[in-house]
Amino acid sequence: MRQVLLLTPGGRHWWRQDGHRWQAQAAETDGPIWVVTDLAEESLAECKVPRLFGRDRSSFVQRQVAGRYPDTPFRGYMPIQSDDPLSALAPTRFALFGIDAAERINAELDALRGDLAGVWPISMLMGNLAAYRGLPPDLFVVLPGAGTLRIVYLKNRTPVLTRLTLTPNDPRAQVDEIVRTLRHLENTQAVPRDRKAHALLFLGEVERINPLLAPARLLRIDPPRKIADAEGEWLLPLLDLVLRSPVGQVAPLARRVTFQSARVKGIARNLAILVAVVGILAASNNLLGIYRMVQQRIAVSNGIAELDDQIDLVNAQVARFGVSPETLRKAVSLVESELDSVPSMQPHLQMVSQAIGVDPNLRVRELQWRIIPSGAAPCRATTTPGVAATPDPGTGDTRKIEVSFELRIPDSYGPRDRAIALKAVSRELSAIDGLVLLQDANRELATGSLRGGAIISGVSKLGWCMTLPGRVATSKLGVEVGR
Amino acid sequence: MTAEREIFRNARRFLNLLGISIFFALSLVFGSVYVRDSLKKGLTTDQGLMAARRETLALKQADLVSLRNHIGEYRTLKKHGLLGLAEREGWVEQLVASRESLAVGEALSYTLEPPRSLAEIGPGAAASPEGDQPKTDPGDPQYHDLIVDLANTHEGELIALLAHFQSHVKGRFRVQSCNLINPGAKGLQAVCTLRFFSLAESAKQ
Repeated sequence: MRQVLLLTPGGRHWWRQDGHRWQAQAAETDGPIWVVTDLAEESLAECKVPRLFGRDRSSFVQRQVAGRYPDTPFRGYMPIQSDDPLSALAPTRFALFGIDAAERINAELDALRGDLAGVWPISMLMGNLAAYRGLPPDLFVVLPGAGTLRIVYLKNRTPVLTRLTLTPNDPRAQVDEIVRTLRHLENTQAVPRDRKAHALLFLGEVERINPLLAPARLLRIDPPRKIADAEGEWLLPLLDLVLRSPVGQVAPLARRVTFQSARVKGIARNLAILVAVVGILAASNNLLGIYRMVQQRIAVSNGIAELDDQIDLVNAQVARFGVSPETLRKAVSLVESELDSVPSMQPHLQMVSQAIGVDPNLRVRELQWRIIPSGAAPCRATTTPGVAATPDPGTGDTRKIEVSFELRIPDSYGPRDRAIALKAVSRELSAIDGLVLLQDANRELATGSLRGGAIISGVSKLGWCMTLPGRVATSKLGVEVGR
Repeated sequence: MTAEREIFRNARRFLNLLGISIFFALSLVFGSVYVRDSLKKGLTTDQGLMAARRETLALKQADLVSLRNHIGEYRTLKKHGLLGLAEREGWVEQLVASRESLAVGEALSYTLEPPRSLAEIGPGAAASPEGDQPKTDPGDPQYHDLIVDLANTHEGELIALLAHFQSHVKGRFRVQSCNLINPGAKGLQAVCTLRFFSLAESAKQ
């Protein structure tokens, strides 16, 4: 339960907030206490400081406050708002405030049982209330009490003067007191002496005072909408305001230790909960991802174990054969590539035999049949470069079979007969599918020298050299050997 | 003790709670990021392992299929002497026996050259830098060139001799080259290279 202790020259008044309603109480109840003072000893002063920063500025202003209010611990300060943008960073004008009634306030505070939230001069509360953006920045705020009148003047939304006068509840006397205050401000040059009307926020009955304001060059301003429903009791909005602990608190921290401790505890507890919740929310995506990944890892691990079992099973089945798959692969590949796919010599010998069979008088003098390894030049490199490396279009293999032979022509053959015989042999060879004729005795005879005679014809060499595909198609091994 | 210090002391428990809460939240956020990233890496690794296992299983299954399909052929090859220790003496003995059996030619001489790795003449050997010996494995296939020199024979006899030899020798070979030279009244001279192949059986299963 929150309660406010209002200290006035007339005595102490207890107010308790019940829900949203305020009720006057006879005595203190349980709960923290906000203290509001409405005493004549309240005062305000303005102070200018050099452009200082950080602790230098606060220490300087603290000394100024202590110098202005040396006899009371109930004092404070606040910066005066300015249009200068640098003032927001390092203000040079401050409003000092304090209550020179330390003895009475200390006595009142010592008598309290509850925790003290703070002590606020009512001038500062009125200043806070009138600093509303919709109101003029320079403004008189007047709060009539029981035989008293509290006048606060705000300059640029900062209270710079406060007075509590013993003024009867008479409109004319109240206006006179306001005008007296205005004269004082003009005399001290806090307000320019001109014919301009001064704004007034009157927190009391306005019907009777309204006709008296215009002659006194005062212009009454309607209160802000949020406090306009105060139903004539203008103290209550100030009590609402003090519960929000606004600027202007003057009690030393030592008086407020218990309340501030509870406040820090509450803030720390709420922050702790908030931080924990925010942390959990911020990490929730990650935690969800972690949960999913853990599930996936378990599934993958199970999958790996299952695959391992299958591999072990297959290994056991392979082991039953007693044969290494690698050796089997090599053996099968070896047989295919080096044995079964290589053509035999016999058909090629028959081929040569058929070719020279066109002339029964021809005889082979010398014949060579050989498998040319990949990359080797056929026919002892007497042919066009690049022939050796030409892969077989069917198999892509560069292995070739080289067949070369020399013929012996009967001595009785003249040049024409010889040419006819050689031409016939070459024609027969050229007709064989896949045969590449690289050395042709017939062509050499046609382009070379034509020689003859008993000795020369007997020793002249008539040779052919050709290549044949070095691989026969085999397919029985299938794809496994291609690994 | 200053008032600020007293406030701090009174609220110490809740301030500690706040500190723990901040630590917990930060640990939760950054820890979860770390754990998530670690798990992600681990999961990627596991998935890689799983893919590797699948590949291994596929290879093993292919091996098994290959074994089932070719085990008969493999045993035949083993029986024919392609696999296991090369019986080099048996080859030349069978050559002489085949010639005597068919009474082919008049003089037979032979040279069985030392075994060499097939990798030395394969495509890999051709691609290796000049001067470097190609890398061979003890499990690589080997070849053995048997050079046969037979005098005073004829083409048909030679073909018959090779066919007889092939059907009786414990080994697999092919005719690598053959030179038929010096034809005369009694026949010609045949110099042929027969290339045998052998493959050591691996101890690995």
